[in-house]
Amino acid sequence: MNKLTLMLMSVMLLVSTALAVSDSVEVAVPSAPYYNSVDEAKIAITDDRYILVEFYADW
Amino acid sequence: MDTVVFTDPKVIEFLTNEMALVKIDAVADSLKAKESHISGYPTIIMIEQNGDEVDRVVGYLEPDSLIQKLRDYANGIGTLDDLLGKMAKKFDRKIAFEIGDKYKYRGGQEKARSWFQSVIDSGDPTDSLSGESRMALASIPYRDKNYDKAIKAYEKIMKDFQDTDFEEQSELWCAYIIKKKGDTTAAIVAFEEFVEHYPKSEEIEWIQGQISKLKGEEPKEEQSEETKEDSEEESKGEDEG
Repeated sequence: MNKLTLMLMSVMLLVSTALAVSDSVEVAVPSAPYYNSVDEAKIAITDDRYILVEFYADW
Repeated sequence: MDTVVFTDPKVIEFLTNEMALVKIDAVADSLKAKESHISGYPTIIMIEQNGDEVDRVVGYLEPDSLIQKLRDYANGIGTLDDLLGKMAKKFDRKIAFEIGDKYKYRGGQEKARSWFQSVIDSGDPTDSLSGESRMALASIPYRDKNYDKAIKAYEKIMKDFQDTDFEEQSELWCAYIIKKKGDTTAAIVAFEEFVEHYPKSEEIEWIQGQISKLKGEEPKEEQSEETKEDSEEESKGEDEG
């Protein structure tokens, strides 16, 4: 094997590794739409639907 | 909620087409949380666009149950107003308890006390609904950080409801509140006595963790005490239901 072949093999190895890594990246899961404040929600919604205010705690 | 409920396709559709969700970090916006009398997480308050509260859901619900409850509230079913309307026609102990519970989570402690007491006064003071009401009444001074009063209330329940789940729950609450008071030695004794009395309790793993922490046998969990309080409160609430 000459030097060029070895270099090409190294490049192919790097590319395949990179592809393998990108395959493992998590796909974003769809989530419910939300607003950051009641005022923001009131401006955005045009009908008389109810507003749900969720208080959460990320400890 | 973020990982299970708000990613559920039915919930996404519901929150896209029927209602609007606002998310508030109660730790970052503690003033708003306090103003809204938030005492457990998650809490979802349904409001009209003029700001009036329709009702609230305290604690975790599965997606289908959550959607059903919110639709019921939107149709005026199961709300505080609905229950008060029913009570105006005919007294019902179960509804009286539900009303007390709703006031408790809205910060209406005096009204909550009154409704829970009415449940006890109108029936057998040692039946299940009375027991649930006694537990709820005992939790009110605890929430107000009046720990000695809460312990006395739970101790009284232990005497009045011997050999029932209420006795077991009350003994655990006593141990937990002693810990909250900061009396490490007494808390260890109380938790160990609980384990001795109820070796098959569902809470054994958590209690063993508490004992280990109190003895300094392992580093503190990242979960804060408030979180445990809330989950403790909620799990007992579910038991009561």
